[in-house]
Amino acid sequence: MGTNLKFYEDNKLTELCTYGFTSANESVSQFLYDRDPTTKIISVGSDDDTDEVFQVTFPSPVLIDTIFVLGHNIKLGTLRYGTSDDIDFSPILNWSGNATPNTMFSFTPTTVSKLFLRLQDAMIEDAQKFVSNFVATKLIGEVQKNPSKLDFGYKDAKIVGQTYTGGSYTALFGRKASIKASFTDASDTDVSLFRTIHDLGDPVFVQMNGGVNSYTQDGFRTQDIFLMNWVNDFEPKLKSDMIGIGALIDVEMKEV
Amino acid sequence: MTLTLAQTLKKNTHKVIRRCYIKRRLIDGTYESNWQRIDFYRSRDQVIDWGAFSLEIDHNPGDIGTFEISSLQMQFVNTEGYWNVESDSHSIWAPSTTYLNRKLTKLKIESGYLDSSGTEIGVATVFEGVIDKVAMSEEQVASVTVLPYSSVLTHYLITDLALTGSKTVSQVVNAIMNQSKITTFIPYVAASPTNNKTVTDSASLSGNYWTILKQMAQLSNSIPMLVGTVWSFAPRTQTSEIKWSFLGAGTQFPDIFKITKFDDEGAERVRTVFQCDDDSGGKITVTSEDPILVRKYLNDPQQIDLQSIDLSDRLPVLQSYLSYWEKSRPILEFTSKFMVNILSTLDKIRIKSFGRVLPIGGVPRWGDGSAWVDTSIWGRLTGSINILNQSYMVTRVQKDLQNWVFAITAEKIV
Repeated sequence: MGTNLKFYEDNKLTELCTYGFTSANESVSQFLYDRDPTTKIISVGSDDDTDEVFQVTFPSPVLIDTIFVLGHNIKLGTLRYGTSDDIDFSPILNWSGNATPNTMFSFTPTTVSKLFLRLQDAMIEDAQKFVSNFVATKLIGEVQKNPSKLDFGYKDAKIVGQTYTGGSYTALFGRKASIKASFTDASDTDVSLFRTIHDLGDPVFVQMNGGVNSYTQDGFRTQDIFLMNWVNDFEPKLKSDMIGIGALIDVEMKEV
Repeated sequence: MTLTLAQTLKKNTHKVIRRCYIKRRLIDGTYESNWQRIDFYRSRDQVIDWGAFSLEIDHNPGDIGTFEISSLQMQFVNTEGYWNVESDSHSIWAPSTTYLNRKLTKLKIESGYLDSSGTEIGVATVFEGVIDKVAMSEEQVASVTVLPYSSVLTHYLITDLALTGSKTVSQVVNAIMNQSKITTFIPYVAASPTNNKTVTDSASLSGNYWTILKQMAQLSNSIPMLVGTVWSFAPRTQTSEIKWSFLGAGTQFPDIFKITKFDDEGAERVRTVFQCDDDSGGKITVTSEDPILVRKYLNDPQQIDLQSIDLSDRLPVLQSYLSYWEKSRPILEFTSKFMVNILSTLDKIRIKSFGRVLPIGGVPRWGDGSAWVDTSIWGRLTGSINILNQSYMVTRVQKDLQNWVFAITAEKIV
């Protein structure tokens, strides 16, 4: 797998799954998959001697090859599947001495019915253990060649008003990402991938860093995976009026 | 340090929380036990338009003793068919063997704020009601009309209760409100009317519950109010506590966005003559004893239906109305920040908003004064609207959830 722009299926964690937490509040289990970095599932009365296990049971087996655990404080922990936290992925997915709050795991495609996220030690000793977002997904595809132009940004949903003194008043409702990528040398394989995504009828996760999680620039960090709809027309065009030398295509996507 | 909602509202930069939930009716007619969140459903934001609703007393001028909550019109994404009829397997109401239909599904909206550390502040239910209908559009949008719980009170007739004999206003009101078919929606709170008059023949009452409640309010000079799910049947008087001090033009940190209307007299609502029928085909009339007021506001007698109470009680009720409504009260309409549930009808507020302020001594010079409120220099008020720390009572609040603004109507307390 390369390091170019990638697309993933929607999160397999939904309202249709069953959630079981050792001590955390199960009534807010949607915090695990709400894509909101301000909400989190957090243990209650736990410490480094007491494991906190987040168990996810899917309504039917799902095929996955990538897991993102975002906004967490796991120093030591494991991620397994099976019926009772008994089977390791390949390669083994775990944290040991971890100090970064966002993790991406890639592994051999595996069909799972249950996932077990075992949080053993927190980054700060005996602190309550938490996870903000958990995405279990499968790679749809990776472009063979990155876009020649990439316009990425965020758009606020907000009210901007004015007080009597001319001072500004703002009320922010949310922020969503959007990208406009211009491919000037898209291979037939890439155009086929774009057609698949365009025709999917579902949003997809877009990962601009291509799995290189060392970037620190906003939009390219580990946590910057955006669930997006394809919003422009699917219009692959001939390059220089010739066939066989790649295609021109614009991909415009907006976060859902 | 976590700020209170009031402290948060003083700021001019806000992060907003809006959530919407439903409770479906099960096939046996009862409601499911837990609220289902639907503004964010199946990992997607679902609301296109949150709509707006209003709470209002004295809905029509002269129509005393009324309270109205408007309906709420929301729009949801329906590309997945979640809002379709229950027989569609994609519907939130499927399977139809488990849930009843969309109508009468409970819907509530919570709102509040987030502080800079992500802590929720002042989150509360601002609206709760029942779905009346869902309309579909070609754009894959579901337009949902939600009625307040007061609409439930229009579905039942007072004759259901088979009341007989004489009953006080509070007995009639409590008999209506303390039934399981009502408390399912509106938790029971005993009535405390202004004048707890006696209905001489309760068997003669006719109409639906809501009509009767408004009639009882009129008999007792009270107001039936429903804010969220909090019911009250109480005097039409302002709260003793000042709920908010609004600052407008000419102040340093204004929170009034705009004064949209100012009726500095309030003449339209003044009534100097009240009248009701006696039991022998005649009229009982009370007229203001202030000849200037009668000359100023000469108008038709305000007719009040007091037939259901004893003849001897009617004159005091009319006098009670007259003493309030013969006075003119300026009416102010303005917009401000979204105050969640801090403000409601009958709340007492203070207003400070200057119109045109000029220097007392003539032409100002640099250094004469530093602020508009420096009355030693800038004390000469002219212009249309000069409200200097006056008390008003809120008579209408429109909560615009989509545009995140309150539109407030208030009458001056005199």
